[in-house]
Amino acid sequence: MEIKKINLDRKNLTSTYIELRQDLKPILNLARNTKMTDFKSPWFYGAIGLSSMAIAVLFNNEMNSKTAINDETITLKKQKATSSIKNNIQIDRSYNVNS
Amino acid sequence: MTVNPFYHHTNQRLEEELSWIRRAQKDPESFGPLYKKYHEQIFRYIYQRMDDEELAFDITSQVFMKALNNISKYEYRGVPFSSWLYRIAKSELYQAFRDRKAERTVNIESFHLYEIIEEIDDDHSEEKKRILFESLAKMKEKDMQLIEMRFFEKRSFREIGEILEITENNAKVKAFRAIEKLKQLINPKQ
Repeated sequence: MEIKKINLDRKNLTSTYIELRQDLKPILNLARNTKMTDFKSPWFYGAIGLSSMAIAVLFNNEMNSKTAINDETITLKKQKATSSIKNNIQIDRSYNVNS
Repeated sequence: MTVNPFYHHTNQRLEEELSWIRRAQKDPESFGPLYKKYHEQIFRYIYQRMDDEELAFDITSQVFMKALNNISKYEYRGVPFSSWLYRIAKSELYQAFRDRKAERTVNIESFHLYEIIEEIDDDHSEEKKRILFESLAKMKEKDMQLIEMRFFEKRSFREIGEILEITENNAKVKAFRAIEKLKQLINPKQ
């Protein structure tokens, strides 16, 4: 950090003047309002953390179940394709024998 | 060098202050006595380091608001409550400098210059005073804050340590080094 300015013998403020500027009421009010929206409280972060974890777990489960369904579909399609090829081969063989 | 007696409390005063803290921890409305006692000290600490009076009052209010919000976390360590307030004030002040709301300023009284000259040099001439003033302007901020606290605000090493969150001995060493650097700036040939 840089020192921007040096003052020599600046006018001093009196204690009476500073005392006149004392006002605790707005500080108490502000502190009360800040308390209500206290984003730094452990409760806030706890709740946010738990809900993000729950969302992550749900998303993961959803993705897994989708992959499982896709796998089953692919297996069924494969089975169908294999059986139809087998049938075709058998038909071909029987045709050859007959002819 | 004389030391500002504000910081040094008797056990009785420390206990009285602790009872105010305990009350404020239970009920923030009871923060009044602590605010009344330390408002001027904290304001002067802030205003000493900047030029904008209104902003200094604003930052002082922010310091007390933060203190009030976090008073439940305050732990008594046998030192005045002011050291905790000064630490908050320091952090708020430097945040204002970083946000460019305020400019780091050093405020010196003429008699402070004479006191420093007495400490580091025998030559008390006007020319020396001018050189010292120019040398202070060349100093790094971290060295300047030690000179400010020790020579301008007359704080004890214990209090400086509490504010800067270093040990009393470390504060002593750092202040000594800052003075050595100032001597080098005043008499570069040495």
